[in-house]
Amino acid sequence: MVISGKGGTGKTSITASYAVLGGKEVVVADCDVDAADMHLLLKPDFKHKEKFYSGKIAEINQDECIKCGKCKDVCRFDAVPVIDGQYEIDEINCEGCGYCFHVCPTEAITMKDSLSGDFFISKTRVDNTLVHARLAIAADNSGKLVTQVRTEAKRIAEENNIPYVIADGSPGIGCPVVASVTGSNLVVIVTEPTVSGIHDMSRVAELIGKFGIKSVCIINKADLNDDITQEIKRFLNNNKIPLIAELPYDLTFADAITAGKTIVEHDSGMISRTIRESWKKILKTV
Amino acid sequence: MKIVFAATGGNWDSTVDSRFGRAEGFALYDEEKDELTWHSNAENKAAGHGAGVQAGQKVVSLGADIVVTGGNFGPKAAEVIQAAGIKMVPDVGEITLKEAYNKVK
Amino acid sequence: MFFVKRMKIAIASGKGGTGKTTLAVNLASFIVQENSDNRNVVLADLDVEEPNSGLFIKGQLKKSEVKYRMVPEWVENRCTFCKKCADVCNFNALAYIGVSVLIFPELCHSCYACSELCPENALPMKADRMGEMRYFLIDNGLHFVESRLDIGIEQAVPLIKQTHEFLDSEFSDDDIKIIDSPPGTSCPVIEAVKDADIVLLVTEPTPFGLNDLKLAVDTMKELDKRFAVVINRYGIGNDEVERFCEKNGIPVFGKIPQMHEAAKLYSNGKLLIDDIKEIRDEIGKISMNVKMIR
Repeated sequence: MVISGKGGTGKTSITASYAVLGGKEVVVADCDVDAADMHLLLKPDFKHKEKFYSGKIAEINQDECIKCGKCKDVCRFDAVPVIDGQYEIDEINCEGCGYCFHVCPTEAITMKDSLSGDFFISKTRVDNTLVHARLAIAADNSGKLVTQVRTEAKRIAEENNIPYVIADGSPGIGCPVVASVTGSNLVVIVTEPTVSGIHDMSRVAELIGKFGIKSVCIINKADLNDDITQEIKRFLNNNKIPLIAELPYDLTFADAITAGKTIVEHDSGMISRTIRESWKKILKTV
Repeated sequence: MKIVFAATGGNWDSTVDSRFGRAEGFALYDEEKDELTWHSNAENKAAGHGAGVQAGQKVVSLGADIVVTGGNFGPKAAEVIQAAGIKMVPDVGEITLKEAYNKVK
Repeated sequence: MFFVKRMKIAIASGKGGTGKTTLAVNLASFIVQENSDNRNVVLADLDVEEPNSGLFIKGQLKKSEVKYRMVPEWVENRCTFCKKCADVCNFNALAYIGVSVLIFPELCHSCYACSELCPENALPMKADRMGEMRYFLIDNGLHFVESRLDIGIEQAVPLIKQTHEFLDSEFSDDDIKIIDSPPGTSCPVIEAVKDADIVLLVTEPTPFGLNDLKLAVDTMKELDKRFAVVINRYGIGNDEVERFCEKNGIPVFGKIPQMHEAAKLYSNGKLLIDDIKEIRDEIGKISMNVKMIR
């Protein structure tokens, strides 16, 4: 299952709580590769580390270069600056299309593998497996790294007969989100009663609807704005999306993060109970 | 007829791969010659985007009449394969190539 | 002759939900209200997957443009089936299947290689719709430009790039530009902040905030961009972010306090500066710090 939602709604906190509640029954995947945070709560050991390559970057061999400038002429991405009379490749701008490679008359250009980021498989402090990654700076956040995280998590779950995979999804509606959502049995949409939250939620719901995947919803910070909470409930009702939890606007969440704990470990009151119950509901629905 | 299986290996007792675009490889069975040949998908597994497009092209270039996979075909792969007039057989599950062939027959 | 300092301010963050849009709309509105140096103010929302700034400001639509990017189109009767196009494309956006060439625009990066290297000119580039750009004039005099990707379109960079081009052609260096960027550190963010004179990194004073701030700082350094930090929801969490900034010589331009009232106003799509003096003053401080750079 995937936990999805706008940045700041509490996705990561909730996923981490489920990771603790699920214990050995879950494999956790942190698909938010652009801003991976779960490791801060689950304290993984980074046991397995792998460099991850995706796409290409051009490289000019200055010894072969005759400075004809054809590469610069064909490049549409301003990736061939001339510095001190020398043609160079701007690695941040280069898209790896290879056009320059094809037109270079002396074959001075090669296409090398582009480092997308780092990929990790770890054991967490609650003794389950976390599959996570860190996108390199200015890397293309394609669905590839996210797909890798999910595929590995699924593989590990299957090989070890672990029943559930929970994934902290990528925010937004772009390619990485699609990669994290497709192939899931359930999407848990986390939202908040703000104009931004409801705006994003309806876009996510539309995307999920297109893929025909079951979804449920958690309203975080529910008591911040009763009117909008009601509006969200109406939306959920109309779209037949069950509401599995309502959490209050409470600084306990921030305190828990600061203390390096998940909310279910840090709090022993209503919040913790609500999350525990929502986890039970998820297990029933999945 | 030529039948291509997305597969984890090139023998009759190898299993059908549940993926298509990023399958380990493709096993091509040529009924006329009674030949089962293996074609690795290694260079495509590493593709960022469009693995399905590449895999689809590969299957077309192998001259397939039917393509079999254990799970789903992604939308891009499906588009390529359909445009080429090849019959798709998805969701056979993770069975052996032999069992899959019997199913297709 | 007066020298007018060019001012393109990008607002970014490593993490989503830290308050970029909050800062962008309140800072832009503040500067317009103060109008102390008689310059136009433009707010551009480049978070093209999820543009939210428009929820906080109302105005009249001045201009609306559908935005396109160029993708190849296969012309069957010119094709000699040499397959060069499919061989050349590094993004798998072209599939050669013996009887035809299929194009997958969502994978195309508009590099033109296939089109220009085709020996028969059988792949002319044509415009493909990717989203929309709208330009509003807000009631308080603020100019607002918002770009939005169509649902299903995967690439944000071309739309962000074209919006920048619009800003540079429609407005001059005399106009103050504030850019609300997408969250994170990947390509769309890079494109959004590329041309900025200064980047304000918004963070929250928690371990999550610090973790993502470090990534954002590394990115800004990689781009050789001038940057400063704004701490939002100041009061929660701990002082690790402040100490990190101090230790690394990173200026903190402002600390917007955590206030339930602010959260409530935000939830209703209201500006904070009109109702909370403390926050108005802090935004004012940020504005001053920005104007004093260089």
